[in-house]
Formats: sequence, structure tokens, C-alpha cells
Amino acid sequence: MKITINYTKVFAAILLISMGACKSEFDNITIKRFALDEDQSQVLQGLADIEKAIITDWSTFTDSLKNSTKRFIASPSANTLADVQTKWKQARDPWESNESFGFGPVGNDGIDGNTDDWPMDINSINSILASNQTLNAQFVSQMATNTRGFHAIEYLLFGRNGAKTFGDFSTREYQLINLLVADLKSQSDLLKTRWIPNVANSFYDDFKNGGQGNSSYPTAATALAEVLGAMTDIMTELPDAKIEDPLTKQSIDYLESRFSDYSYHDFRNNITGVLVAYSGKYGNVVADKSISNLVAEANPAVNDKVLTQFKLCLALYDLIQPASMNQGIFTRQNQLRDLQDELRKLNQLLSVDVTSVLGIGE
Amino acid sequence: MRPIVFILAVLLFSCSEPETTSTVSNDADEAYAGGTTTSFDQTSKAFTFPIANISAANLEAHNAGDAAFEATFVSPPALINGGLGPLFNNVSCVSCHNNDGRAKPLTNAGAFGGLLFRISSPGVDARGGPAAMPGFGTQIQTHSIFGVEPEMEIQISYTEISGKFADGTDYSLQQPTYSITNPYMPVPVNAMISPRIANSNFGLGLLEAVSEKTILNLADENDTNGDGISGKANYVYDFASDKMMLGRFGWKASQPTLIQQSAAAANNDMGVTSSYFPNETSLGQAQDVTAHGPEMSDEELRGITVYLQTLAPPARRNVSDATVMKGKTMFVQAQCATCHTPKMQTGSHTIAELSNQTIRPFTDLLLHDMGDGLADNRPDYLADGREWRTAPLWGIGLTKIVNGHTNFLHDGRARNLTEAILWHGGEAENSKQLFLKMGAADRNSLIKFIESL
Repeated sequence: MKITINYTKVFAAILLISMGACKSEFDNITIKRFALDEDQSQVLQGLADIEKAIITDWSTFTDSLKNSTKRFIASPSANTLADVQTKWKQARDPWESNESFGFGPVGNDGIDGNTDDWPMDINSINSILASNQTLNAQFVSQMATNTRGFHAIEYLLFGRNGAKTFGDFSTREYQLINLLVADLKSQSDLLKTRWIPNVANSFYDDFKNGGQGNSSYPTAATALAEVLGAMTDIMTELPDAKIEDPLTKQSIDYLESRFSDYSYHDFRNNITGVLVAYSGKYGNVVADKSISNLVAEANPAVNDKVLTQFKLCLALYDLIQPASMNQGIFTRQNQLRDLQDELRKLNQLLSVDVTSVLGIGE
Repeated sequence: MRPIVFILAVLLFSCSEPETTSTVSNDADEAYAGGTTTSFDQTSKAFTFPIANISAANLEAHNAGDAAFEATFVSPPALINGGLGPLFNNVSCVSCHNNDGRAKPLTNAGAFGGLLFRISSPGVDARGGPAAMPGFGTQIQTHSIFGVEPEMEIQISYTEISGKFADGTDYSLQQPTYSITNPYMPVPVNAMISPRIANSNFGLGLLEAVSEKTILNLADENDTNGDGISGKANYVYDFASDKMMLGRFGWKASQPTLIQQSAAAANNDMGVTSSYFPNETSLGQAQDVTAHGPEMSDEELRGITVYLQTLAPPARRNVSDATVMKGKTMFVQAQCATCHTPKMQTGSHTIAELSNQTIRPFTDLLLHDMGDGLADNRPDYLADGREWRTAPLWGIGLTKIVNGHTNFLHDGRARNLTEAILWHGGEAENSKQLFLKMGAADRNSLIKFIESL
């Protein structure tokens, strides 16, 4: 079925609806610095709890992936393969939602590299599979980051063209998938451990206690700036690299999760992950005070503008159908260009307006 | 404080400062470590920002270089970033320089960390540099693409060495021992091996912009002033000009320019060839020596170079804090500032924004004898086995937040700043002795000052 959308009209309608929700204009941004350190600490507490919940989900879903992998290997079938592929996607969701917390142990403990290095080294994986190399946990722990993590597993589960069937797997592929999934699970557990409160070497405590003298962060505002920096980093990377490169080069090889064709969801999770950090809401975890609350107290118009821009970006995103970036970079080029523009505006709001309103990073 | 030292300190602080000075000034711009290039971020991204005064054109080049710096290489042939190996230490620049900061040594053999090892034979090569060890070259690659053997694995273990400050306070230092396992061929007994930890990347363009004359003015190779501290310039081979040039970069100042430093790192650390270094590091080995052609284009190499040249030094913090200011006095009194030169003026640079800046890098870019404890016993051009380039101290207080650790020195053996000071010897022996004699409050002040950098 061919889907025809009068994109311009939809865009205009969304824009009008969204802008109508604004309470005032933004020609002059009022800067109000935090009046109370308690406000900032409250926000940090909420953010720490949200990150803890995201990482707990990642660990839980990775555990499901691990169990599903074992079921698939024990009893290969179309159903068990579909299940393990679904579980890979479910494990991917919280990870890609986590970009707004892309600081601290996830980078410094090597977890990001071991989990999500890109591009993955297809030649090396194929060579390993074709060899007589003994496959065990020790060997996997010494594999380069570009042969481990989500994308190596994705390649093995979905195949180069995303059309792998359960009959296509070799014994060595089973072995390697099993080991790589176990390695991924260990990475999620490692990160989860760092975001547990009240334990030795707790980054949760380090972050939450920003400005309280026992933290790496000299002020609570510095810790808040950390999150805002991570939010704007992904809001830069998404339009300017993750979407831009495959779109400009017209090649799915440049897409993040091309084997599974899951990039569409990766990208959406990147956006909603930033919204989670801004709004202080992740599933049932709701912060007592969020960045959005702080901005609203200082300058409600800016907060409205940011929330409206989030809505606009997500609405535009959801118009890109079917939900496939492997197709979208060819068939929805104009929509993606518009989306890039709006994402850049959102990034501008976060990196300039919100930062200014909060008096952070000056 | 002893009266003579106090008077000396007063005199030092009241002097009008020359362009390059070993005093620590009290001027209002002290926070501006990189002059008008300084970044004021204090988060884990503090080392990742472009110079504050960057032009639009250079910002574009910086951003392109940023992408190249972060690029993960894979084994060839590949559409995207093919060129890794056949021998390598890591798969991307950023893998070792996370957040453009410094790495921490990982103790398990086979780990992908930011610590690498240089190797050479006794003697020098035709250009006066380290003589390549047959079968290994001048750097050990501990990883390889599948089907090729890594050159070896290296295990690190530590032995605790205990000591006491003059006030009776205990301290302990960890002495590393490196053990070679699984070499792909026997390692000759006369091999000279030197560990090097990945260092932070910011401010390098400013150091490149300091004139040779400025640096040489700080040198005192024969200690003619009799202060026990010499300071020697390293002269190293520059591939672009086919001449010997002043070395500025690396733990032994063995690279003259950032473009050569970048190309050498791509080649040695990732096995990525370029027009600078067109041969794979496996050349001469019985293993894969297939020439793949330049795997990093000149444009990408220039991009990475501009990126490194235009990373801003972070601003100092807490410059007017009373403890920090006291520590600043201790820093001068202990003669730390004699080598860790607080203030310099840059000369001209092709990136105009870097030119004529007053910077506070806390290095003289010169080689100093650091004693037996830190000696690697591996000469590198004019640097002998006991000499190291004075490490810049700017930004050092942000290491914990940027990289999650406080490991310092060329191999990351020091677990904190106190240990780093206590490892000093050779020309810095007197400074260390003064530190050992300080009371706890003075030691704390000195550390607080260094943490403010």
C-alpha cells in the first residue's frame, strides 16, 4: 500500500497547534538564577533515580535477551529466532534512551565502547566464525570493541541483509552470540552497579550530591550542566551525524542499526530520552522536581517553548512512515530534512535558552 | 615559613613578570589558562570544547576533525573507516583519550586501555631517534586483527613502597612491574621498553604556538645558574621538512608538530597509514605486511590536527580561595614552578586565534632528569633514560570529573597528586624533600593549588 501524506499541511497544522500552546513570546529571555541550592539538589535526586531506573531496565531487558538467546540455541525455530530478535530490540530501547546520561562510568569504565561501538567490524566477525579459534568468555573479553556489543550481536542475529532465518545459523554463530550476549549483560550489570546509591564508588551518590563537598561536582549546577551537556550532545549527533550521514550518502551502511532496521526506533528513543531527562518522567519514576520545573519557575515561556518543540519533533518523527530508516533515507528525504531542522532548533533551545535561564555554563 | 624563603616569595610575587616566568602571578586573568581561548566548562566535557575565540571557518574544521577523532576503525576492506591494523593498540583515538582526557592503566593483559609501550634496541637510528627493535619496531602492539598475532601481551603488577612524611604521616607508592607474556617471537634481552599513558589533548595548539626562542630561554642544560635544575630541549626528526626540530609533544617531547604526532599515533596505535607514515607497523615482520595505501586521507589527518590544535584549556577554579593561594606560595617555595612554568606567551601560529596568547600551562616543555624511580632507561632522541618532558599541569584538577580517576605520571602509577609529587627525583629531588618536610596543612594547600589548575 502506498501511503500519501500531504506533508506540508500536516506540518503547518502541527506547528500552529503547538505554537498556540505557548504562553508568551521569546524575544527577551529572562535570566533567573537558581534561588535555592535545594532546588538543584532535588533535580539531581530525581535525575539520579531516573538514570537508575533506565539502567535497571537495560539490565532487565538484557537479561531477557540472554534467556531468549539460550532458548533459541536450545531450540532453533522461526518463533525462537523472532523472540530473540525482539528481545534484542527491547534491550536496545533503554540503552538509546540513556544518551542524556552519557557521562561518568558509561564512558570512563569503557561500557559505551564495549556496548555500542560503531561501525562494527564485519570482516573480523566473519574471520572469527570461519576459524578454529576456541570461543569462550576469555576470548570475548579480549575482542576489540568493534566486534562486541549490540551491533555485533545484531549482525549475527539479523544477518547482513536483515533476512536471516533460523536455519542460517552455524554452531559457531550460536556460540559467539551466546558469549556476546553474556558480555553485553555484564556491561549492563557493571553500569547498574555504579548507579546504586549508598555503596562504595557509587556514581549515583557522586552525581546526586553535586555541590555537597563529597562529590566530583563542585556545585549542583555543574552536575546539572553535565546532564544538559549530554542532552545537547545527542541532540547534535542525531541530526548532524546519525541522520545526516546516511541521508547525504544515500546508504544504509551509515545507519546505526541497519541489520535490524531498528535505527528508526533508536533515533526516536534518543529524542524521548532527552525529553525524559528534561521532564523528569520515566515510566513510573517521576522526579519531585525536574529541569522543566526549574525552567518553568524561572521563565515559563521558555519551558513552554521547549516542551512544544519536543512535541513538534516527535509529531514530525511519527509522520515518517513506515517506521524504517532503511527505507526512510530514500523515500522520506524531505521529511527527514525538516526533522533535522526542528531537532536543531530544539538543540538550540536546550543549549542556549535553557542553559541561560538556569544560569548554567556561563 | 622561614624568613628568607618568605622574603624571596614576596620578592617573586612583587616582580613585574617577563613573558615567561617561574612565578605564579596574582593578576586578575589568572583563571584564563589559555588566554582568550579558555573554556569555562567544569563538567566531564571540560576538555572537549573548541577554543573560545575560534573563527567560524576553524570551528567547521574543528568539528570535522572531532568526527575523525571519534571514528572507530575496522579491518579492511570496508566502506566506512577500513584501515585498522593489522597490528594495533586500540580502534579509535577517543578509545584512549576518552573525553579528550587522560587514561588510567588497566592491569589485565589483553585489555583495551590507554597505556602503550615503546620498544627499541640499544643505539639510535639514522635520524638519531630510537633504534627499531627487529620484529617489533618502536612500539608494541598488543592487539591485532583476527588471523594476525599481536606482538605480545603485557601484564602489570604493583608493589607497594611505604614511607613517611617528616611529620610522621605514612604514605605508600605503587611501583609497577611489567611482565611480557605470549610474544609472537622471542623478545631480545636487550630490548628497552617504555610505558606511556594516553594524555589529555587540550591546549596543544597553544603549546605548538610557543616560539622556540621562548622555550630555549628556559633551558639551562648545564645548570649554569647552579639551582640544581637544568632543562634541556629535545631535537627530533620532522618528516615534513626532513629536518631536526624542537620536540614539544609526547612524554619525552619526541614529536615536533601536532600533525606528525597525530599521524604517528594513527599509525602506531591503530595501524592506520597516511601519507606521513605509509607503511603498516607490521612491516618487516613475517606477519601480514600488505600495504593498503593511505588509510587516513590528508584531509582527515589535517582535520584531526586542527581539532587537537583548537581544543581549549579549561579555566582555573578557586583562584582566590585562601588555601589555594597559600598553596600557590608553597608551589613556588618548593621550586615546582622552576620546571612547571606557570606563564608563557605564544608566538605566531597558522591558526591566528592561538597567536600572542598569555597562557598558563605549567610546563617549560623541556626535558628534566626525574631520577631512578621514574627512569625508563630508554633514550628518545636527546632525552636519556632518566629524562621526561615537564608535564603540563593545566586542567589537572579536573581529571577526576573528566576521566573518573586521579592517576598521573607517564604510566599512571601515581594514584593521586601526592603520590605524583613523591615520585619526583633527580632534578626535582629537592622539591620532593621540601614537600616531605611540609606539615599536613601546607601539603594540603599545595595539593589544593594544583587541583585548582
